[in-house]
Amino acid sequence: MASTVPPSSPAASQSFAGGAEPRQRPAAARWLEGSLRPLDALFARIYGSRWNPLHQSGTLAILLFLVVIATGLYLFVFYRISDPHGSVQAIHAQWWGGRWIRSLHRYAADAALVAIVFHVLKMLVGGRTWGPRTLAWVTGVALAGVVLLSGWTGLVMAWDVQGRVVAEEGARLLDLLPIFSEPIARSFAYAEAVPRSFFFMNLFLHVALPLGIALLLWIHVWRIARPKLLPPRPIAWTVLGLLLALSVLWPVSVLPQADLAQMPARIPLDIFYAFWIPVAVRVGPELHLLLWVLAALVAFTAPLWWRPRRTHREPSRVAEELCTGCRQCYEDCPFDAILMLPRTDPGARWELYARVDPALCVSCGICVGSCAPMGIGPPGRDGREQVREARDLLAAQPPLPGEVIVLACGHGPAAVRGLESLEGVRALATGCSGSVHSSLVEMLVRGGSGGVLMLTCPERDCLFREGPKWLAERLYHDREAELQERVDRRRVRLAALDPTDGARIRAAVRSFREEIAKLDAAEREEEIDLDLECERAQEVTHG
Amino acid sequence: MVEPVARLFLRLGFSGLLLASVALGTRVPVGSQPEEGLIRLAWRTMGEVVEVCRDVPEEERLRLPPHMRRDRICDQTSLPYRLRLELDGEVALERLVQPAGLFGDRPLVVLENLAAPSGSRHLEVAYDPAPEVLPHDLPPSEIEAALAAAPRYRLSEPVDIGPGRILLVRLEGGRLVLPEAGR
Repeated sequence: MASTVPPSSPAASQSFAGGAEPRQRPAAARWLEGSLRPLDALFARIYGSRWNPLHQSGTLAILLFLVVIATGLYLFVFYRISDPHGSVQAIHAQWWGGRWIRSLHRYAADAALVAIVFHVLKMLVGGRTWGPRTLAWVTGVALAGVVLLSGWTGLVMAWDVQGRVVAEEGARLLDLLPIFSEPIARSFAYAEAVPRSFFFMNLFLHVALPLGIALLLWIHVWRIARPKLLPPRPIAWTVLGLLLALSVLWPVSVLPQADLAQMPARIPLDIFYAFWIPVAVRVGPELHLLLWVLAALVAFTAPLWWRPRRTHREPSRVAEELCTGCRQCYEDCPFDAILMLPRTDPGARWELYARVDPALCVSCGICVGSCAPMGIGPPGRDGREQVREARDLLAAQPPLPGEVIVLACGHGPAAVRGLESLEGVRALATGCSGSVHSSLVEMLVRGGSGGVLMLTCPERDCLFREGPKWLAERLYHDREAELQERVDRRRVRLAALDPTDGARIRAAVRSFREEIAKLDAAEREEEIDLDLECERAQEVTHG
Repeated sequence: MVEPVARLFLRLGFSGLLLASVALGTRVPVGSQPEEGLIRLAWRTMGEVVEVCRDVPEEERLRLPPHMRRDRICDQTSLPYRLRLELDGEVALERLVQPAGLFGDRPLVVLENLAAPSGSRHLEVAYDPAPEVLPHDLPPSEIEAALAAAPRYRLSEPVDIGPGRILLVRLEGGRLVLPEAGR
């Protein structure tokens, strides 16, 4: 989960090239991040930056949702509303593994909810709740609610001791609402009172709600460009394989049928979807409903209060006189906040120009790095400003011989302690790494530094989604605005590392420093040999 | 070569552990065996209708939209009931049951759950019309007619309340009964 630079960190001593960009998140987000840091560090240590599932929370939730749909279709074929519990027992008795499919269905649903919780935490830590992200946040909360509802109807479907409790407590909640003239809890007063239409309605909801999930998901990712919906294949296959193995080795069991003549006793509860049952039983329906209403209010209104106290987010602006209409910023923007419009001024040299939609722009600055003429960017953070800063920096503090400049993303690796204390290293915190213009890198390399190391967040954990990806494309694969050929590529390095993995980050910096030292030594040897040869040639000439 | 393989197994093992903890979370034992029983009263009756009709004055008729102009308007309400439960001679529950619905014209629904100590008890349930809570402006003749027609329900039986058992009292064949399983 991405971090920002704490003010007292040694690595944050100098902000550079947008490193002082406006705060994106409230103070409470930093507290939350600190609380989750041990978990973050553990996952980073085990999985590394590339395979960390915490960076894939959203895509994992979608993958698991697809598993739930696929297995659900199978179960739907064999489920009978006339005998709900009996049909579940029959599914378990299928010799070809009906119980494994039911287990896979349950485990995938539970794991999806866990992934959603981590996804929510990640959004809260990153402050991705307000401004242009409001729609995504609100739809996300709605999605979580619909997923919970879908899960509850699923538990009820089995009509076992657990499903009965969920149905009864749910009915007690609904009876508080002034929408039913008769208490629906009466449907569970005794066995004969339960209408068959109840199981039909429950099944209908359980099947229809996923359609709502699909619709909400579409809106949830609507405003971002190139949304990644699924995790990388190795992660996807691993998760699927492990879930299948779990379903085979430790399948869910069929709980006893609901008996409305008996009070609920000690029952095995699915704490992911039925976590609220013990609370409901203890506090009563009125307080229980109040808790849900408060939770919904808090969640839906987060865009109003989970945000920095003072927000000076300034969207990017286009200098139209510099814009050549090349469309690169339009293609690079991760939030589809840039439009290409036809020029109407007479005698215009170019057909199109770019315009930023301020309602959609999150001020990440990734467009800065896309623009060769440096005609776009948040005020004070565009390419020209970056080059000016670099010039001033090199003039004020010329690099020492062989000194390596580390440009660390301020939302992640810049927070790593101890970078400044490494020998021969100057660490600077930038804005999102995707906002760094290649001309800045060129200026630093050609301005006397031994090399430039770009420390970015892992590609799937970028606060602005595509910063590291576009930076790599611009540095190594000629994507506009590409790093010029005249720049020695051996002196430019990119490392995408988890910000909690301080050891790996320091190791990467040391390794690069050593490589640069070797490169410098090799180049010095070449120079010395030349001098010697010239001397020898002179001796021969004057011999 | 060894280190990447070891790391792969570590990742797989840790991932398996995470998913196994998800599986564990699907079966967390919650709750305890109840020591008390429960008496459940569950039935639904159509209330006796008390109807009050009046002629609509011309001025009032003209104020209404044309499609709502009637010569005579009849307001209906149902007779409320009083529910009383005694356990071993002590009143354990007493409340008014009002007809449901915004206009009080829906059936009367009883759904009560009462925790009761286990053991042999004597149960008495009374479900009688309660005209005293009707509005005073209703004509007494209408109320008396509804009262005369309204059925009264009684149950008086010894019962055995087991721990965790639900003793159901319901309406069957026009009278309050304890289904076989509840005895």
